[in-house]
Amino acid sequence: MIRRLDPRLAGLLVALGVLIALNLAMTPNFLNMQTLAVNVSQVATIAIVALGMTLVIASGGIDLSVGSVMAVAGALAPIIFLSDWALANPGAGLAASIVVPLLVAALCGVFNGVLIAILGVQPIIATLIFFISGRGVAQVLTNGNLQTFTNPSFTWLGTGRVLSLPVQGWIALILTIGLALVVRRTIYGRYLLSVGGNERAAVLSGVPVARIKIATYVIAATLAGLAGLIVVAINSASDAARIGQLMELDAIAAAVVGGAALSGGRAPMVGTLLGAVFIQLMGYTLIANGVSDEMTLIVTAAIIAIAVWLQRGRRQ
Amino acid sequence: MQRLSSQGHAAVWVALIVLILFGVLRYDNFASAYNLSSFLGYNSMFVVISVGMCLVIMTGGIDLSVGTVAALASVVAALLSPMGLVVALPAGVAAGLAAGALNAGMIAGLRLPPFMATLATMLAAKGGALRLSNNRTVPVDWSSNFTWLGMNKVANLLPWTILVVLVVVVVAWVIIARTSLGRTVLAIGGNAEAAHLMGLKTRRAEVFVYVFSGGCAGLAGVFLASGYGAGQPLEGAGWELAAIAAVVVGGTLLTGGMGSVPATVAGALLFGLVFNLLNFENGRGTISLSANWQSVIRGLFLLIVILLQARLARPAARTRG
Repeated sequence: MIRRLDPRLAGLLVALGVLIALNLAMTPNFLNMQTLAVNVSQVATIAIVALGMTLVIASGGIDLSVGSVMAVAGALAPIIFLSDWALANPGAGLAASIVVPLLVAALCGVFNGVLIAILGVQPIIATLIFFISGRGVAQVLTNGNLQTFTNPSFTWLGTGRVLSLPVQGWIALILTIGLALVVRRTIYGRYLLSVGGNERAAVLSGVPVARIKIATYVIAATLAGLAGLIVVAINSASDAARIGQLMELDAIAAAVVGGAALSGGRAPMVGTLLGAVFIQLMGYTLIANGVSDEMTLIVTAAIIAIAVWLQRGRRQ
Repeated sequence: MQRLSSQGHAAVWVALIVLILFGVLRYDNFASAYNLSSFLGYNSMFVVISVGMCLVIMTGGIDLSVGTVAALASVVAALLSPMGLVVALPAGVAAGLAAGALNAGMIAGLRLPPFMATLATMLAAKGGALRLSNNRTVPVDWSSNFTWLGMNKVANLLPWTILVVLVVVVVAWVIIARTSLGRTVLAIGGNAEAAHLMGLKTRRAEVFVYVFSGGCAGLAGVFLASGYGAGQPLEGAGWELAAIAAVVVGGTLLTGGMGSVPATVAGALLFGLVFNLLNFENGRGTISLSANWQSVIRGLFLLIVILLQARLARPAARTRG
């Protein structure tokens, strides 16, 4: 099926193209595998969280708790595979150290979703609760200690290579394509966009709004949990105080640069991936060319403002 | 609507009084001058940013930038501290006002969503604070009178900062309750379109709340530098969320259109008090909660308040529909 390219996506692609061209001209050693691998490995976790965030934003909500969910999942995994039981059963232990944290993350999503969809609490406030207490839970789980470990099969999630690219990059790519299909081809996707587009109309036309919203927060939290596991795998260490800090802002920024509107009703998954890549590449470009970290923050702020402003212009 | 809001506000005052009574009866030194003055001194920063946040939320907006703007203001004030309080205090507040004006320009001028506009300012202010401070904590000049504001107390009891905050609170309260500007602020939150069509100066009111909130954040930054002897570019992380929580606990709905400045102050004090009581309880040795538990408990506390509010708000929402 050949469709006209969404102008927002086209704009983002042009901007990315310009950025890559600039890098080819200016940045030394831009065109090698090492540079690519470093960037892919840094952007993958943001992209994975941002995909879930885009779904939440499409439903007309926001999820501030993703960073704390990452911390909880990241704290749980080493606890599980370092336990006596897991050391006795390495295979099952490894599986449990991935599955259990993801299930716990999903439960966090249920918590957010129930508060929002059933009790009618505003998304910012509802997810603020777990934002505040979730990191505390992760720190209580680990007694506030840094957990370090060597577990090659687990760390593969963050350091493995497939076709000489980081494995988490492939995970992010597969999730993007999968979720893009889910949004476009499934009933859940249709319902999601209708809930975000006009909730009242969705209720009146019989869309199970509460179920759709809960499912959306569960997906977002599970993806955040996965990102938490990847961060722990990259570092071979779990620091509950730091995993996923400010991730909610990075993810929201990627979603918005990618074309999601905070008012809901739009879930551009491919755009989100490209938005995350754009922000990452912009940061890399500035730092590789000797611009300081703090100026990079200011430029990122300007990009976010411009991206939101451009979207606003199109809506009128 | 009136009834609902007064119910929401009553809850926070009752909770505050109950917690204070609990503290006074249970702990010997709770009502001591030392505890009172250190409690008020520390919380003056949070009260003042919560008041600014309250006005923003009354319009249905949000200001995510207050934490990093306070950090920026603390750096500006610390850098200028050799010139004394006379220069450093206004300069810190001016830095906050400028950040607020940036928010106002993006929101009232370019009509960007407040969440995203203030998110951008949040990042920019952090970048600015790190740049001005060269990525370091900036020590203040102890030989000037700059630290006087943050470290001195009236009659060894009330910190000067809390008195300054009191003035800000009264000003905000009078503006909201007694002026047309205040009524416009509430009208925007109730229904922005209708307020605009009625001929209210909605844009002016929006500019006002964001600039005011920026000024409050600037003042909090000056308190930080003056009270703790340093401009701290990395401080302020999460302050915006603490302020939002205080506003919500104070009974102001995030959709705007209603709310109370004094109840927000009570909400901010309530959060501080929970910490204060936990410290005393730890001190008694009956329980031993690490600092890690404190955020868990703060989150639970917020959850309980929100569940109570959800119950209060329900019947009203139904009758309105």
